Amino acid sequence: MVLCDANVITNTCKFLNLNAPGDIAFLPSGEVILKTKSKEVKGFASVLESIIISQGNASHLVPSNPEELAQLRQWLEICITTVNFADSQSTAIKELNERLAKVNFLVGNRISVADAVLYYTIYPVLARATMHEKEQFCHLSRWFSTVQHLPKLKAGHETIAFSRNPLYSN
Amino acid sequence: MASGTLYTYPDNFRAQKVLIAAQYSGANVKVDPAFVFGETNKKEDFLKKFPLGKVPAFETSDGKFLSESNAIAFYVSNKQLRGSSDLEQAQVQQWLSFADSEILPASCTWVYPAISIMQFNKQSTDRAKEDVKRLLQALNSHLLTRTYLVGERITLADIAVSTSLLNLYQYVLDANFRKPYQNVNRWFTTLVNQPQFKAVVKDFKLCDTAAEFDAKKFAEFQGKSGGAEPKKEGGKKQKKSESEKEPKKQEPKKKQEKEKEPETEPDAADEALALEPKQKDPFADVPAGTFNLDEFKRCYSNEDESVSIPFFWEKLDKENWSIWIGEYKYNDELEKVFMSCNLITGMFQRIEKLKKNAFASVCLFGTDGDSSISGIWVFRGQKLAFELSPDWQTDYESYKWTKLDANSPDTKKLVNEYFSWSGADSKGRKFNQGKIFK
Ligand SMILES: N[C@@H](CCC(=O)N[C@@H](CS)C(=O)NCC(=O)O)C(=O)O
Repeated sequence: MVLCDANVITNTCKFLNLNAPGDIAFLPSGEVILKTKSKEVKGFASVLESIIISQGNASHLVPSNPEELAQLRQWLEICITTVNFADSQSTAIKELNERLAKVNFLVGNRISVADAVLYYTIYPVLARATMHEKEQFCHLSRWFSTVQHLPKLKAGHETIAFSRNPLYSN
Repeated sequence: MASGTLYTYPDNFRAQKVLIAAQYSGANVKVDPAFVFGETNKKEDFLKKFPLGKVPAFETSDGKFLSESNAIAFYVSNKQLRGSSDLEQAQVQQWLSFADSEILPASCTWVYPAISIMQFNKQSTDRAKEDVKRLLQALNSHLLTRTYLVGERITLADIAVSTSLLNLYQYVLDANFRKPYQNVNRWFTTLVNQPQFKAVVKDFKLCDTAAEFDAKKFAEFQGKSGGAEPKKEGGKKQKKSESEKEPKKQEPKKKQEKEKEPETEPDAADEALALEPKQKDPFADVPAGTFNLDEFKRCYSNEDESVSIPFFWEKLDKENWSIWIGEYKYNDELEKVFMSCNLITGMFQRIEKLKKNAFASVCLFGTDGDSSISGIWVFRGQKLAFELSPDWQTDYESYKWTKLDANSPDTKKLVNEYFSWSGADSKGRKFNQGKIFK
């Protein structure tokens, strides 16, 4: 199953309170494409990036300095390359869990649109995961249980439960 | 919403707890600028309001009085900080007590001797270190599955526990010591980087090398705080200070006593710390911007200029950093090249502390008897940095300073020449030698 789909893109637009700056379509190959008056952008990460950048500095949810923008791009790449085909037992999830061991949020030290994108992308996996599985990737679970609390992310998504008493903590 | 005046000495971590809470809630808390520790809080009118004479102390706008930092912090907090259910509120209280009765005693017993404001006793320090390990371990387990201590948002619990750890993280928890406590480190780093924390604690740096007791510094410190003593009034206080000084005279005997009751010591040192105004960072009020000076210096040292100069232009945050040219005024007096070089390195030594916020390439052009000195300087802030501290003003008046327009092509050319040690001065004298201030 592919996780990086149109839902993630439309939800991210909603999260930023903006309309997509053009038409979004899917090629037969499954690749997403954004057509605006002036250009065509292809691919999940690039499409999201141009949507987010079109927002400019108007939102505090969009990173503004070059370093943070680079981190944002990196996370969009990780979503499409690593997370896209993940299920609760794949190594992709382990990798993601490791990445979250030392940070609370993906970019900088606060919630940003990067967290929203990963939240929408990974939601189906965590919604199906067993409690036992969620305890095994405790960093991912910790991150998720905090960001799902943001009212904007909560809307339209059932809150996922996480146990507070890890059985396994390697 | 709460509003009023806070009495405290600068950089008091108990007051910082209150001020950070106020940053979150928007409470209007003013620090009394006229407060002098050891004077103001010993005066009769202060003691009428706050009988113990301790700080922080808070006077509300409508004339009510509060002491005890936790009570004050609670008062200026909002709902989110206090906890959103009965259980959460109780959990917040739990962590406030944890900070006060578990972390602080261990922290003070370790840190105060380490920064030489309290007599060192190996046994006490060793025991305090073990206590700190045990407490960090407990916190670490708690934070494995949590972003914040209570609930899913920042509460007073996070503010109180993190401010009680500030001294530890600043002075003694070096990278090696803190390594096993990754979850605590993650949590602490997130907190100190929140704008509401930064507004109060400024740019917090984690400890590089753990501070250790220095007998000479301690003796100096005792001398100083002893000198401040006559200012104090009141019989009880006087006596307490007298006994604080004792260890100097009767070291061996006192030492044994100390081992029996180290817990009473930190309080005294607490006050001593308060008497010693921490030196203010001259750049405290100058925004840091996005330009990472150390990163650039590393790049400049390790890479060819064909890499480091473009790197400089790419990263430079022109809003918060400025570029200057400094030209030596007395070029006619320059004789031997080696003497001129000493002039430059001497200046660099005298402004050593400015390194954290400045970079420069200063060049000597020409040859013996016909030469000139000038340099390109990059400073944090738009002002000439030497003016921020009297310690940095020995040499700078011998130079003519001109601020350069960071966007102009001429500046680009100049910077490139100075950074790559090429080109000539305005009179056509060729580059001879260069020195880098980094
Ligand atoms: N438990 C109090 C402690 C306050 C305290 O000990 N303050 C010290 C300075 S850090 C003080 O004002 N001492 C003055 C004195 O005892 O005369 C709080 O948290 O506010």
